[in-house]
Order: sequence, then structure tokens, then C-alpha cells
Amino acid sequence: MTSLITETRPAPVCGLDTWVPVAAEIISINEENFNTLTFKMRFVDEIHRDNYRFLPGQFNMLYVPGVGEAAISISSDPEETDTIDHTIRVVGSVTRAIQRLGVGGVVGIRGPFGRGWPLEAMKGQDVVIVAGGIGLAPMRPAIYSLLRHRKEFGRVMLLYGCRSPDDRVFGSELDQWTEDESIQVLVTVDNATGGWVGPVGVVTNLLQRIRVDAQKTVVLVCGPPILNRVAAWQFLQLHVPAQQVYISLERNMNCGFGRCGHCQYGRKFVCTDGPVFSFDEISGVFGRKEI
Amino acid sequence: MSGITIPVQTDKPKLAVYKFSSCDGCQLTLLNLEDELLDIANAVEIAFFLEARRRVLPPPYDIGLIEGSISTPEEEERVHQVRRECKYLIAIGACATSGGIQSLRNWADVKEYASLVYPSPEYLKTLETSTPVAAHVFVDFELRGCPISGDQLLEVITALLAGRKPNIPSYSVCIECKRRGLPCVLVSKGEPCLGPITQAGCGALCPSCSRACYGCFGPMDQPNINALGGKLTGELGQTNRDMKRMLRTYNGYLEPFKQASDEYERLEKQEKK
Amino acid sequence: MIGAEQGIKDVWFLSLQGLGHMISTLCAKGYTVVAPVVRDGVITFSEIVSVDEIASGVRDEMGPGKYRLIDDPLSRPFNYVVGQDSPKRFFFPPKLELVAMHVEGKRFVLDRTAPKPPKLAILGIRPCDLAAIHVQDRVFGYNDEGVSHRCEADTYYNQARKQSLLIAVNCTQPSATCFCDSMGTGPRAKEGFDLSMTELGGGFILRAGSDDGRAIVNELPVRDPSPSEIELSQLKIDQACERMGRHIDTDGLKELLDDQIDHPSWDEVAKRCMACSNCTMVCPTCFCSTVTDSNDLATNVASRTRHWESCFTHQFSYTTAGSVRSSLRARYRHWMRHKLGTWWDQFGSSGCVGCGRCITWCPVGIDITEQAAILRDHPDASNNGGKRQTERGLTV
Ligand SMILES: Cc1cc2nc3c(=O)[nH]c(=O)nc-3n(C[C@H](O)[C@H](O)[C@H](O)COP(=O)(O)OP(=O)(O)OC[C@H]3O[C@@H](n4cnc5c(N)ncnc54)[C@H](O)[C@@H]3O)c2cc1C
Ligand code: SF4
Ligand code: SF4
Ligand code: SF4
Ligand code: SF4
Ligand code: SF4
Ligand code: FES
Repeated sequence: MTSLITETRPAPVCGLDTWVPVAAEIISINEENFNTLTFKMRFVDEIHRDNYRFLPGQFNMLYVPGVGEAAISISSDPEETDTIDHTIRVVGSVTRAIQRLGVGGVVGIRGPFGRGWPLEAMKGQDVVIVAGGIGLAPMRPAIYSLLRHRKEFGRVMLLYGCRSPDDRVFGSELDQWTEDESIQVLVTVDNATGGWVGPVGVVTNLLQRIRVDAQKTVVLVCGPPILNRVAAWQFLQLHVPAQQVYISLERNMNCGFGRCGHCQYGRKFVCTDGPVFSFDEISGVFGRKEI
Repeated sequence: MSGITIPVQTDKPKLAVYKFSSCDGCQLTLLNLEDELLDIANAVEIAFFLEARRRVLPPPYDIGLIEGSISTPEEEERVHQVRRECKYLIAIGACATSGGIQSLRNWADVKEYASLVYPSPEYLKTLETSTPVAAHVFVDFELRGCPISGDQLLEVITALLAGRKPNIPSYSVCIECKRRGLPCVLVSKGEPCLGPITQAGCGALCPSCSRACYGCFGPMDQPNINALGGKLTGELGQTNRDMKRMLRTYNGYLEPFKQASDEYERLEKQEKK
Repeated sequence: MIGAEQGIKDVWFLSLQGLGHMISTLCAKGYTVVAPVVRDGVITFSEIVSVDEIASGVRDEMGPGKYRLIDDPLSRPFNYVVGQDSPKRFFFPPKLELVAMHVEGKRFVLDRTAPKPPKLAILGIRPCDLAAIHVQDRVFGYNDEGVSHRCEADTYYNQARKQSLLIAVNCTQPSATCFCDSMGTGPRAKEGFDLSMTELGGGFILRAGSDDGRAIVNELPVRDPSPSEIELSQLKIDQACERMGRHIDTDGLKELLDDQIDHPSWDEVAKRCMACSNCTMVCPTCFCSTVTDSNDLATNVASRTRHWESCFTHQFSYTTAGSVRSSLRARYRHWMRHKLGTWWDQFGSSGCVGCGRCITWCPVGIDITEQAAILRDHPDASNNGGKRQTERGLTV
């Protein structure tokens, strides 16, 4: 079970100790949909701005002093690290507190943590990206990388599903990528509203609309558990090798660096061994209830 | 916790404290939280607290603390008024969160009692049951305990003002007991400790005095009462009646303690036959 | 036997009275001495300043969900095995404030950082607990031997460990819940101690495992042991192996646990388990924790505090979509699979050292060795070697 993910991970930034976050300022906020916002952040201290590097698919622990922390994927271009984006669905106390801080507010960052997408292994291959809802956030840095080095990859397809046309995140970019035709973009919604003429239904239905050359395809999946499961199994049935199907998982996280135990998934720590796993690494437990 | 946040305002947020049916012990504890009250008083305006001061500021209030259970028709009405007055309502103590000790009457026929005791029971203003606040109006947060823990009260108010989830655990007393390194009275002395099914919060007060927990913080998240009951009634020699009494002492009207205590009552009656 | 003992210079005889010298030497060298004492009827590790405080004249009796200390006519120390608490809390405190800070302009200003740990000499560590310390070394990244770890070092743990002295006592009388022999961790402390002791009638066979240990011995009234004293000490430990209260067959256990993930016995054990978390709190290797954030109303200082946590709590696996392991069945299964199986993948060792605490201190006496035997003796054949059909008819 040797992983195809070979990227060396950049060292995380943190204060005195891994538990001390580093201050960053919110410099702009973009509304993606009714409860999801993209926050552009910049480290307050120059040294962190200079040193911070991340890989597509990695995440940060975002901290609001006195409130708490949340694991949030980095959603911006990995080659532009003067500012970094986090696309956040406001669901609970920490995410709400970040929203409350607003532009000019200061959050803490620990990270980057985890293992990202297998960009090296994707070279020369076709890439199918399957995302649901906020699951597009950890995909965006990968898409930026693919676009920057477009020639190094085969066909690139993005299958994205969300509740309604208004729920799409990165809407203008989705439109732009569609227009560019540098990648093939297919979007489906559960409920068609406001003159939507595109596909309706679950994202895995979109598979029928693309051609998959199983042996030379790498699949990246991130979405709610049901999407992850169905998508992974569909591609395996199409005979895409298990080590070429990658899934980004979500678990409760507290430390982010393999110490607190919360994120365990069978033998894996999602925070350090993942969040991106190839199917063969987790096949024994994937899709089983309550692991 | 529904997570209403108090908007930032120039004036301090207003706090109201209401008292319903409760023993004096609860009221006293609140006033005895001297250090904590001082901190709270710095951060909020105590706008309504009849037991402590005469001055009353008009509603609405940002935070309402409600103590005591609902056991008279007057209270049943008043609690709706309280809900209207407060943005954020916190029920504090076993009485307000479970109906309290007086909920023992819920298993008896009040009218029957009353007609035996009083000549004109129709004038007696008592409800059939003593019930928690949440049985009548929406409650934003419930703070358990008989009495509550001062630290926990401070934590809830602090968290509310900071706009975060309060760190109020829903796991067992045993976790607090073990963190403190207290010798387990159940395992090392055979005491019938309810710690394994009781919600943490007291800091394992009773085991720290070498006594068994009697469940005053009410049921933990998903307690397995049957499993503990098996040990207590088996090896540790408690009767079904003992079990019923233990479960009903402080939080008997709170599920799943209620259901389990009813079951032990059934077993007790079966035994008698 | 004697020939097998390398470096005879590392073996001495310390008389019972010499133990007092050892305590005062350690104190004089600036160590905070921690040793087993009787607290409220239970053997507990506690700070001591004199040898009289060490529990003696008592013996422990235990079984599933039961522990009693009884008087022992032999008024000797160490005539008991492990109590409720292990040395874990001295390196990995149950509650630790990691940092406190406030926001000033756009910067975080530190008000407090984690406290400095004391310089500890822990005396009376049983071999299973000694092994447990080395298991936790891997978890917390204690890097003494240039071992590479899966994550960076925990500051407090490392500092505490680096300056500590570990004095083990070999076991000659295992309890009814001990199974260190099955786990290969006892009853003899093989390595990783500064000093180890084996009780004989009038004193101890003393061994040094490090330079720090030898430095202590230099100050003690020791003599060379006679060959028969050494022989006898070996014999006492050997026969302890034969008297283990419990046993686990570890052969292929990890694979068995993977295979039997859907075994019906998980449902049976769930009926008894209360998710009270006692088993994980007393376990000398369990490392789970939660850092919670809070703020001070008066000063606005924000603090971050780490507490022991357990995979048995409902909150442990909480995500906005609900708890991942919401049934007791899943939580017990996760615990046992971690202790005996998945720990190997994570840290290259077993997560269980066979101390038996989880059996003794489980209020309802759930027994990990019993559950392991059920899985082995009555495997669920329909499990298909851990393989299964997915809802789309795929076998994975
Ligand atoms: C690797 C990873 C990447 C993520 N990326 C994103 C992202 O890009 N955008 C986004 O909107 N969300 C993301 N999430 C989910 C996000 O972490 C949770 O929605 C968030 O923690 C909720 O915090 P809260 O305090 O607002 O919610 P509350 O419900 O108030 O949560 C309270 C606490 O529960 C825990 N918790 C709750 N849900 C989760 C969860 N899903 N995962 C981990 N811990 C949780 C946290 O400890 C949190 O502090 C990601 C999660 C993981 C594990
Ligand atoms: S004394 Fe009671 S609360 Fe403490 S661990 Fe034992 S059973 Fe739990
Ligand atoms: S130990 Fe139990 S009875 Fe005692 S204060 Fe705590 S919750 Fe109440
Ligand atoms: S058994 Fe549970 S508490 Fe113990 S280390 Fe494993 S996950 Fe953590
Ligand atoms: S699992 Fe049980 S026997 Fe094994 S080390 Fe932990 S407490 Fe001891
Ligand atoms: S196994 Fe025993 S000690 Fe562990 S959680 Fe279950 S009941 Fe509690
Ligand atoms: S988040 Fe703490 S171990 Fe993974």
C-alpha cells in the first residue's frame, strides 16, 4: 500500500508551540451563497507571509481567541501565498465567530496540516474531480495548479453538484472555467430554480456524460459521505485502479497534527495521514458505519 | 444551544434572574457565588433580581436565568411572560431542568392528596405536576445540578457574551472523577455510585468526599442505566426500591431517569406480589 | 542464568533500610520523588519525602469491577501491583493550560505559557507501566534514541520525560487481572528504566539501566549480590509468569480484529458498556485529549486548556453531521480495535500493555481478554475475511 502521494509537506506555521496560532487579518470577504463565505486572509507578520507554503488539499486550523478552532481547507492558489483564502460554511460557533469578525478582524492560523491531492501522480493522466457543495473548496487549489500547468495533464473534468443554482460556490469561476474550455465543467443541482437549464439530479449521474479511460484516470472526490461512497464505487466499477481513486474525508478535529486522537479512522489519523486518501489505503473500513 | 449572539452594544447586556418553585438552597447558591457574581456584575447589568435588589429595570433583557420548576397555574402563566422578556433564556438547577425534588409528586395523585388534607381543595392552586421550564417554553440552555456549579454558571454566561459554545460536557461524572485521580468508591468500596450514568459538571464532588454520586446533575448523554442497575442490584445488593429512589431523588422526572425509575417501580411491585 | 546477565557491575544488592537512603539521595539530587502510597483504600502514585510514606503492609485483591486492599502480615513495600492510576498523569497531566493570550491591535500577546514540569523520580513503576511510558513516548514524540515519530514532540511531555528518573520494580505476584506476560511487557522490566528492583526477603536486587541510574547507586550503601540471590530473584519473576491472572492470544490478533468488525458480540458488549470512560482514563497508554478555548470576562484573556478525553464520549467524534460513533457498540469496538490492533499501524506497537486496569476499574467489569477470546473462539464466518459487498454489489 505505497501511496502515490509523494509531495513533501511544507512546515506548519505556529507560534511558540504547535498550539499557539499565528495572527492573520481578514482583508476581504466574498459571499458565495446564503451561508458560505470566502475569506481572504493575510498574516500580520511578514515572516509568516514569506514562509507560508501549502499544498492543494491541505487545511488550516482557524482560531478565534476565546471561542475555538475549526478545520478549514485552504481554497486559494498555492502559488500565490501572500494572501490565503478559506471558504467557510457558517454552521456553528467558530464559523459564526469568524463571520462576526468581518473585514479587518484578526483570526489565528495553525497549519498547513495534512496530506493533499496527488499532483505529481496526476501528471500525464486524465483527472476527474467530483465535488459536492462545500467540497469544492479543497479542490480549488488543485484546479488552479492544473490550470497553471495545464499541458502536464490529460483531460480534466469537474463534476460538481449542489442543492440549487444559488448554492454553487465559486460561481463566477465555474462560469469562467466553462467558458475557457481548458477543463470540462459539468454542474448539476438537486432543485432547478431561476431558469436553470443544466442537469438536475445527484452529481454521480453526471458520470454518464463523460468518457473515462479507466487505466489513465485519477479521480479526486470530496463531498458529503454519501457522495464520497457512491462516487468511489462507481469509478471502481469502471475499473479505475483503487490507488487512483482519491477521497478527502472529514472527521472531528482538535489538534490537526496527530496527537489528540479525535480524527481516527480505523488505523488512520485523518489529520496527518489524510484528509486525502487513496481508496486502497482505507478500503477495509471505507463506507462502513460508525468506524 | 441555538447560538443566538448578543449584538455588540454600548450598554452592558441586561441580566434578569427569575425564581419559580425551588427550595431556598438553589437561591442561596446563586447569591453565594460571590466571586463569580462579581465578574458577572462587571460584564452585565443586573436588571432584574428581586431576591437581591429592589431596583428593577424594564424588560427586554438579554439573558434570563430561570430557577425553579413550574408547579402552580400562576407560574405556568408567568413563565410565558418571562420567555417574552428574555432574548436568551437559561434554566438553572435541577428544579428548572427536570422538575426537581418536588416532581416526586408527579407519581402521586395531587387531588387525592389534597382532598384528604384540605377541607376545600378547589381553592388550592397547585398543578398536577411539577415540570421543568422547557416543558412550557423554549429554553436556550439548561444548566444542571442541585445545586448548580458556580463555575458552570460563569462559563455559560462568559461563553454567551463571547459568542461561543459553552464548555459544558455531557459525559459522565467518572471522567471528572478520574481526571482528579480520586479512588473509585464503586470499585474499591462497593458503594452504589451513579457517576457512570450522571452528567459531569460538579467536578466529582461526592467521590472527592469518599461518597457515592447520587445523580444530582441528571442523566449524561445516552446513559446505560440498565447496565449500572445490573451491577448495583446484583453484586452490590441494592433493591429495586433503592434503585427507584436513587433515580428519582433529584432528576426523577427527566428522561431517561424517569423511564428507568418507572421500570424499577414495576419490578418492585412485582416482587411484592 | 547468571552468565546471561551481562555487565555484572550493573547489579547490586540493596537492603530494605537502603531504600530510605535511596529516597533521601533522590531528594538531595533535586528530584521530586513519586511512589505508591495508600490513599483512601487504593494504591496511588503520590509525592513522598520519606520512605515511611510508601505503602507497605497491604496487599491488593482485584477482579473485574472490583478492587480491595487488605492487610498483609508481611509489612514490606511493593507487595501489591498496580493501583487505579498509572504514572501517566505526571507526563501527560489530566488538565493543562497550554497558553493564554490576548489580542492587542492586530497581534496576539502571550500572557502565560504551559508550566514547567517538575524533575521527577518515579519509584515503584511496574514493568507494564514502564512499557506504557515507552508506548506514550512514541505518541508524544519523545525523542531519546533518534527514533522518528509521526508528529512533532509535545513540549510538556518531552521536558517532563527528559528530566525524569524511572525506577521500576519487577513483579513477583501478579494480580487476577494482569496479563503482561501475553503482551510481552512483564513481569520483568527488560529495558527503558534507570533503575530496576526485584524484591527478596531482606532487600532488593538492584540493576542500573542508565548513567543517571548508576549515579544514584554510587551514593547508596549497596553490596555485590551473591549468585544465589540473583538466581532466586530470577526464579521469583519466572514463576510470576505462570501465575498471570489473565491471558490474551496475540497471534494474528490485529488481523482477527479487522476481520471481525461485524461480529455480533459487539452488540452484546454494548448492552453492558456504559460509555463511562473509566477504562480509557485508567489506561496507561490512552493519549486522547481535547483542547478547549475559554476567555476571562474580566480581563479578556483567552486561554487554551487541554483535558484528558475519551473515545467513549459522544462528543469525541462530533461533526456538524452528527457524531461518527454514536452507538455504544461502535465506541467499544473502536476502543478495543485501537488498543490491540490499529495502534500497531499508527505507532508500531501494541496499545495495550496488559496492566489489567481497564478490567478492574470498569464499574461493570467488562473484560478485554474475554472479548478477545470470544472473537477468536467464535469468529463470525460470514465476515468473509473482512471483505464485504457494497450497496452497489462491489466486493471490497
Ligand atoms: C480536513 C477538514 C477540512 C474542512 N474544510 C472545510 C472548509 O473548507 N470549509 C468549511 O466550511 N468547513 C470545512 N470543514 C468542516 C469544518 O471544520 C466544520 O464545519 C467546523 O469545525 C464547524 O465548527 P463550528 O465551531 O462552527 O461548529 P460547531 O457545530 O459549533 O462545532 C463545535 C466543534 O465541533 C467540532 N466540529 C464540528 N464539526 C466538525 C467537522 N465537520 N469537522 C471537524 N470538527 C468539527 C469542532 O471541534 C468545533 O469547534 C472541514 C473539516 C475538516 C475535517
Ligand atoms: S467513584 Fe463513581 S464517579 Fe468516580 S469513577 Fe467511580 S463510579 Fe465513576
Ligand atoms: S457527584 Fe453526583 S451527586 Fe455529587 S455533586 Fe456530583 S453529580 Fe451531584
Ligand atoms: S482507546 Fe480511545 S481514548 Fe484510548 S487512545 Fe485509543 S482512541 Fe484514545
Ligand atoms: S487496555 Fe487495559 S490492560 Fe491494556 S494497557 Fe490499557 S488498561 Fe491496561
Ligand atoms: S468498558 Fe467499562 S469502563 Fe469502559 S466505558 Fe464501558 S463500562 Fe465504562
Ligand atoms: S486532529 Fe488530533 S489527531 Fe487528528
